[in-house]
Amino acid sequence: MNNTLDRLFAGLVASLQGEIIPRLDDEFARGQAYAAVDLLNNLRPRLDWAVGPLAEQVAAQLAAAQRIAAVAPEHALPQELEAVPQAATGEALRRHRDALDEHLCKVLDRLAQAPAGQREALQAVLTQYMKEQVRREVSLAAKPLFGEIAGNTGADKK
Amino acid sequence: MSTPAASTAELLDEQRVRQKLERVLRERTGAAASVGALKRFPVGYSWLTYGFSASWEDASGAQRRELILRLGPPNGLFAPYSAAPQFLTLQALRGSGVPVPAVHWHGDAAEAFGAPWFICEKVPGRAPVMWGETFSDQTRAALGAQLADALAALHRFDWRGTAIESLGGQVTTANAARLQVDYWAGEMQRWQLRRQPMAESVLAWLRAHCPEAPKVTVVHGDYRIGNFLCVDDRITAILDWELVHLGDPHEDLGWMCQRTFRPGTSLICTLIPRDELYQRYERGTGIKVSPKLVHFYEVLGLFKFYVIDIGAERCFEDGLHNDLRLPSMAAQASRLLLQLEKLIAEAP
Repeated sequence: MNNTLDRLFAGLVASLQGEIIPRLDDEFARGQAYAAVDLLNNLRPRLDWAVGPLAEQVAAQLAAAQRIAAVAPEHALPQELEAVPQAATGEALRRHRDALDEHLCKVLDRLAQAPAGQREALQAVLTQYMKEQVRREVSLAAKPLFGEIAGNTGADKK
Repeated sequence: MSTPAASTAELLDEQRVRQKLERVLRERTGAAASVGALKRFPVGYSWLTYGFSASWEDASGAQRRELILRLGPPNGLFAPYSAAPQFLTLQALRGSGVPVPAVHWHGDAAEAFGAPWFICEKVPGRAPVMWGETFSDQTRAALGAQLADALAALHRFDWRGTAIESLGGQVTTANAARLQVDYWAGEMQRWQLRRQPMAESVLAWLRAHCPEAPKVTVVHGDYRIGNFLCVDDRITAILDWELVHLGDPHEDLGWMCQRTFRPGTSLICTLIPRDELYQRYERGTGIKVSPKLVHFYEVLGLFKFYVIDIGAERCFEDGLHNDLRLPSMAAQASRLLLQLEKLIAEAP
């Protein structure tokens, strides 16, 4: 999930108010939907991304970056990315994670130019990191509801 | 002074659209046309679709038609749009053996509706989807066979010398795969909110494995269950041609073979066994199906899904839509990367 919390909350509220509530005929259901809008508006200033999974990911990125630097010193991390931000809020960790992934992508960009031997070693580090990262992200994803979401659309196509 | 482009809200204003429709029909038929109530079909994330009845009187008497208007909104996933590729393709394919709706008029300039548009006939039928259908064995077999045969008809269509040639005469058997990989790589760069190492690693694999195409054909670009209409056991029309282009015919095969389009079954698009699809297709086209090429285009197809997911994420983040299906879809992007990793490992 890469959308910002601000945008997700704003979109949830806008969809409830603009698309869902006007189509609800049942008074109780409308009341529930308005209560959901109210709760979302109250939750937003109190919520941040969970620190735990982000800290775990940043730790894995830093470990991968260190192994890369050991193999190819020219790919050493810029100093500002070496340490996890103090007062690590979810938002700050997300920015750090993104910057570290950018660093690892730059290593990938230059992989083809690396000398034989070093190239394979770098590839092994990156592959292990990427596999673990994707599995970490999948473990956070809820079971998809594609069928239910599409239920009111595809069959009506003409 | 040129007409300004319409906002999506204006394209959703049915009274406005109806007035514009009456004007367009008057200009195109030369007669005062009456347009009935519009019915908006709430499908997809890009083109808007309206069904309507139109009547007018011309030299041959009173006319009444059931028609479809499609409009390319400024905030759609693949905006800015052009109606010309799909209109010209549908026009050229009429009578080719590919079931397509008859197209009537189109335009890409803002004058008519403020957005690219085309009008085609309304074809009877419903669009089965990959979830929750309960086909009889007979219906399943009949639809699967027709889906294979219609694809074969599309890929044996001789597009040279037709208007379809304008879609991309620079496509060759040598560069067809590369052009598609470059296109989707460009979309990824345009849309991504952050760089993602696994996605870039997949892209590097695609670049390193671009195959030579057996021939250059018309490629539908989104050929699958959900994009055709049927009445009982008969496919009445293949729909959604907005991604049509020239390329490797294996691209459509690789796309329709995606696991996404066959949840819980090995039947391609929940309709036809893979070996039967290949056999019918080979008989219909004379093209020997290469499992290696199909696999490459399955990887590219899954990568396209990923890119579309991050496009949805971008669209939502930029406030172009409040459609909650977009971030919901994007929340599954990591699963696609995991599937891509596994699919690449299965390379024949």
